[in-house]
Amino acid sequence: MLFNSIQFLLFFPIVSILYWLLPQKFRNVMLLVASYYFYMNWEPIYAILIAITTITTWYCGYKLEEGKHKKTYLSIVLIFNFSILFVYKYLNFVTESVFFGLEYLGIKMDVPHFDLLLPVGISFYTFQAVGYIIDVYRGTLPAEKNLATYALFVSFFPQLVAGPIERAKNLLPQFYEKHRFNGDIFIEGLKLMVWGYFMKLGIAENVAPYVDAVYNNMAQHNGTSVLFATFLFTFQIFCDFGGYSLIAIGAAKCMGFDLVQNFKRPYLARSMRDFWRRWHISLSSWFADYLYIPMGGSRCSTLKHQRNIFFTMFVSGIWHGANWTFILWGIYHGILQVLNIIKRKISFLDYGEGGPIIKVLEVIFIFILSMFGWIFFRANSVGDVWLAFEKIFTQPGLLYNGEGKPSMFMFLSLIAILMFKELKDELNLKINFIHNKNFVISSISTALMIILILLCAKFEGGQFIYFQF
Amino acid sequence: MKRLILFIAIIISAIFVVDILFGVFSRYYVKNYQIPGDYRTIDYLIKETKDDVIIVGSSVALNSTISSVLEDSLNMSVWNGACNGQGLPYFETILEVVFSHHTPKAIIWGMRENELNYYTKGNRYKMLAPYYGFGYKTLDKYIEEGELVDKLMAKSSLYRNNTIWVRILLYNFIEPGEKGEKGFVAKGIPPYYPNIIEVEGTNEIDEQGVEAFNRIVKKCRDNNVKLICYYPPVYKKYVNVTSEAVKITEQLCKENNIEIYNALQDPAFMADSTLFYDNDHLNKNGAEIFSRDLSGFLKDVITE
Repeated sequence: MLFNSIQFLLFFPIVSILYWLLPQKFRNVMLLVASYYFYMNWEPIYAILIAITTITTWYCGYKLEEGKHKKTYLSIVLIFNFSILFVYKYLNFVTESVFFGLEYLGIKMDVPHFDLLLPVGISFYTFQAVGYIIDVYRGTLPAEKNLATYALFVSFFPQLVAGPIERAKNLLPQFYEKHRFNGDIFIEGLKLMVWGYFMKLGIAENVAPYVDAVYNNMAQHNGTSVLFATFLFTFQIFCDFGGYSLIAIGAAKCMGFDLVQNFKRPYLARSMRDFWRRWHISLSSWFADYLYIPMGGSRCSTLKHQRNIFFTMFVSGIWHGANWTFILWGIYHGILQVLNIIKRKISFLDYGEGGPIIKVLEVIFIFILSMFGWIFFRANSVGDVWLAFEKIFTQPGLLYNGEGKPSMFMFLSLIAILMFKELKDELNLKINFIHNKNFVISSISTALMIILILLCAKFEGGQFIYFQF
Repeated sequence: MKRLILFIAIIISAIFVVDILFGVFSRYYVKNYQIPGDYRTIDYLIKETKDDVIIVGSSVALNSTISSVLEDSLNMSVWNGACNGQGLPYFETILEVVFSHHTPKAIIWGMRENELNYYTKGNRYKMLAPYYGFGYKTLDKYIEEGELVDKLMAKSSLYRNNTIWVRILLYNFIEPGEKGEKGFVAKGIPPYYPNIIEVEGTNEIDEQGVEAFNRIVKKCRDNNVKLICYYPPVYKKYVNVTSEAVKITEQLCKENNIEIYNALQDPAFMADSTLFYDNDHLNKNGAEIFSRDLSGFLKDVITE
């Protein structure tokens, strides 16, 4: 079920009303049933995979707490769950790559293709469950005794298919808290959802046809159009994923749950390190806690520090998808992070905080770097990546105007609204519309936001980009 | 709880009031003003056309058929009423709307090779949404088409006209006035000419597509309007087989005594990529040549 579908607009009020009407002891069971129903709307059979991940990690957590054969249990459960992820997400890619390599060496064989449909959100819930089991192994978290509560932690519908990737320490205790209905918190949740819908339907869906037209037919377009499409994709990916996260956080808030913030004005970052502290925060912190820090993090020699950060970004690229373009995207960000470390070590490049002009230039520079990074992410093939760069730098020309100038003007205006809010929040300016302290102004602003969505958004039920991960 | 109820009440009331006011404004504007930009051709067909010959179709017709070239040859007034990204439901609707106030001598239908392959309304159909509730049965039916929720949402003027009015408003400032030359819009010269692609196999026909074709034929016959079909050239090579849809269309035309001009695989065009914008569309040079070819054919058919 998509957040931007009519079914969800019926499903969510029913679930939240039921949640508040039911006695506390039945709420988790109802949420668990609702979450599985939510997931089974895509491909019912794949609910079995979530159930398998849930049962194996829950049982292993239970066993880990007993203290015997901890490493064996941990290894088995990690290998088992990552194997499921590998088979469904990476098997075809690895097979094709190996056969391509063999062909390059002169050994020709027919490439086998496994007809497997990628289960929606498999990387998200696998990582969430794996995070739990590592925490239990480390002894920083007690094992969850109640299977139903643990199953709800893995499958909680607002964040099941595209995050935020929750930590057990944050989410599990909330299932035991007695939530009392609070109208103001519910309203806050609704406002977050409205802004999330604006980002997804107003911006991401509106710019998608332009980006698709250029990126799916790269050879036909000049460098100016490719550059503009890349600029638009920079906002599409943010609004698509950031919008989903906000809807998820808002929906959970309406039922009294606090999910972690997933985006914090990423395009106002002043360094690549800063960018990764603001972009997909739940994944970055997952990698930091379970990969980067165990490898030594930054508390080691500069060379090892560089290796650690590069490897983490490389794995992050692989996490995103089974395609060389994602791996290149990870490598690109790995290189930028390494360069960032080098920059900090070179004294004449370290100018401290810097004045306002320096800050603005830094933001623009990092925006451009992240924008070029999205070329790897969006291109359909590695060949298209090079073609895009070649065109941008060697083939200027007239800008392709997609569905017409008015459409372009409309989505650029909507992006301007988004960036105004981002800037306002970053600078902590006291201009508030939706979050105005005056109840009437806040309500009317929210209504106007919904009217803006009704007038400008695209309601064609486009998938969220991150569902494929 | 009280605050939540009040919050929801304010939001629903505000949306309801704006929706009604917007509906009133929208109807007034549509009735009294010419709608500019992309919508100009539709608005012209609905309110003004008195032309002898009207071209219908999607982008392949819009970009390939120059009204003035046909006018010079036929000595009749011609309007290119084709519209980007449209399909059978749109053609059906536009004929109903035109015939409600004017009877042209001929309708020329520029088809894609897969015109009868699918019968979906498509997203572009909603360009007709501003005319919802003006008494055009087919139009209202298609706008409301879908599940119960779609029918209900079609009643909301904000939702129904979503993205349309922002564009209409902006057209007034950005690209006011009549778009194209008597409806014709040229595709420029592309930065890179297309490479020929090969198309293999047959295309499945959609039964609903055939039914819609028959309804369009009947509509023209009932109004005593001559219908002529044509396929503009494409820069694609059909390997071994012609598209099933094309064969069936030709067969249907034969059965209904409709003349058809098929330039899909015209060797003169296939040999020259510089006449194309991409694999499906002619550029302005290609359109010039094709329109002359087509007008030669039409001259015999329409004036016979």
